[in-house]
Amino acid sequence: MLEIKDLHVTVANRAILKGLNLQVNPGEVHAIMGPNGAGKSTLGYTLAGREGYEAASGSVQFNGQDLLALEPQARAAEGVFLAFQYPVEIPGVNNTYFLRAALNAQRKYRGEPEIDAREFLSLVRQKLNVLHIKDDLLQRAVNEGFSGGEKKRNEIFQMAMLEPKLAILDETDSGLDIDALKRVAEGVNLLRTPERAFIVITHYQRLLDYIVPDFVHVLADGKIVQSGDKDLALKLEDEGYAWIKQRKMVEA
Amino acid sequence: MSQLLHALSGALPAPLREPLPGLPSTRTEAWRYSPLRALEAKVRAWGAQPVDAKNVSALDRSLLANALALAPHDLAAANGAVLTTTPLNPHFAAARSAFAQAAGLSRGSTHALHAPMLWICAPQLGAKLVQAQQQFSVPDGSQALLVIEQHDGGAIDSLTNLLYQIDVGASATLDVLHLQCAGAAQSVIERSEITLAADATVNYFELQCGLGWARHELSIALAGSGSCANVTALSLLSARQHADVQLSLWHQVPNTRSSTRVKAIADGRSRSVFNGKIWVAPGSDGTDAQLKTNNLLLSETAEIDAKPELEIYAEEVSCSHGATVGQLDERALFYLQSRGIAPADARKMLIYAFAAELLSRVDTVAAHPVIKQLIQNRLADQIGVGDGA
Repeated sequence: MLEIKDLHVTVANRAILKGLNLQVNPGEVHAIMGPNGAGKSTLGYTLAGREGYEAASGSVQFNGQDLLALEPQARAAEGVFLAFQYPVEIPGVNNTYFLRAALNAQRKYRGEPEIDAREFLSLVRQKLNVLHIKDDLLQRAVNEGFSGGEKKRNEIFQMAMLEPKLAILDETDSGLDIDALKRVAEGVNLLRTPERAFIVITHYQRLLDYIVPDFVHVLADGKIVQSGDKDLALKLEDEGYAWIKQRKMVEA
Repeated sequence: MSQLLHALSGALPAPLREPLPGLPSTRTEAWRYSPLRALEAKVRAWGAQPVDAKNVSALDRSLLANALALAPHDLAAANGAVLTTTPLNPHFAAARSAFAQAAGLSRGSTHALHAPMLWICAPQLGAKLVQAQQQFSVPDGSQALLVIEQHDGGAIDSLTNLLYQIDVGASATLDVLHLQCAGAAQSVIERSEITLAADATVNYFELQCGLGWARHELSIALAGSGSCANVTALSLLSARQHADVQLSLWHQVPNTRSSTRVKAIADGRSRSVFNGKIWVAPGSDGTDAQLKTNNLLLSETAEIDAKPELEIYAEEVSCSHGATVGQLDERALFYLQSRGIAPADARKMLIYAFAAELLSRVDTVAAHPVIKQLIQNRLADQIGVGDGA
């Protein structure tokens, strides 16, 4: 589904990703862990197409397409979804209106008919039910005045509505207390299907207690330096990121 | 009265080739960003030509009459008595008072606003100079709605010069909805003087979405204790539009309040000017005056001149002001795009949200759909479609 080869990304004249390789297949959950400044968020932004996060070299194939050649809105319509670490507040834009506009824009791109207001509302109800989200969230402006937990849950709700093929969760656990974390993780687990893949970017192992990954990768200094299964996350939890630095020094 | 109006209402009709006496230059602070040279030249070039004067039957063109369910009889008085589009004297320096007299309006006549009233000003085809002044009063303890609409007068150049004087009685509330939708060929100069008695409130909403040259001097005297002014203004500018709002809030006695929110969105080669002055008289303790102007600059060739001004001569007051000029939030644009929304639509969504946020200050909810539609219409064809729009 997703194949990243030797990806180099420069942000504001600083090399952040320095030859990253990653392959993700349908249904898989990949956790990307690493110390601050390793390039975790850069990976998410690069895949979603944020301006200023352009690849200097390397390639990203997504279902046979050159993902990097697509505009951000086209990537979304092709099935890439980024759950933001810091969801943006957009005062004045109603959450429901925004979601319907997004959904219809994606459908239009894919040559599908637009969804009418009634169909949309019943889809909303259905997803809210599944995720146990209160519908007062829908009446408010996008993320405006939302608590940290509400913002993250709104990201998961958007994901549920847009039904992406690949979801990238950028530090979805940051700023959440344990109850909020559990609820967000529960939402993600409900959206796991044999077709949908996840890249879960996190600094802490804690989130992976609730979203159990198939693979864990350690990102340090712009590269994946170690890959393994969920036990690798536990090792990181015990030993911190220092041993990676030590290991790198030994290698050097 | 502004210097310009003073000049316009001067008693001596000057020959058109002579300089217009008393017109302010850009050396005058209040006119610094709104030069009158081009307007003056234009008006002078019109020359003396007879114009077939008719009353405007503008009711069927009203933007708000339906939405607000204004019954025809509410409008009749305003329609017949107020709409005076006849340029009796083609000279720019025609005395407005003489003009008003000829049009059947004596300067002293006052409309008591018992019911909602609609005042529509649209230059009739061929009318170049439209001058009118009107006095309104809101009786003590009553509630009134005044709707002012300026419509597109077509392709012919015109100058509309209006003066409103409004007295709001004790414990009365006046809502004003002012839609300035004049056409590209029109210039509009307005002055509104509002005086508030004790415990009176005015809620003034103004939308400037016309395409020509517009200036509005809004002067509110908070003359009675407990009086309150809420002013909300939104300018949607594109092309070569020029819109100037000069607001003065005169806190003349203790314990008065004012709250002002002004927004401008400037695209193309347009220019928005705002001056918001809060003046607090000596001894007017307990004054609460808050003024905020937030502006969105959408092209490199547009200009926004926003200036809040505080002049305070009392001790115990709570006054604040703030001004921002910015561009669309790139993070928000990317957020919308990352959800599948194309950049042009994302821009429109953000611009619309920026503008429509002010509607929360308009209590006349029935007017919201009309105002929203006017904003949408401007976004659809002129604003936010890229530089040089």
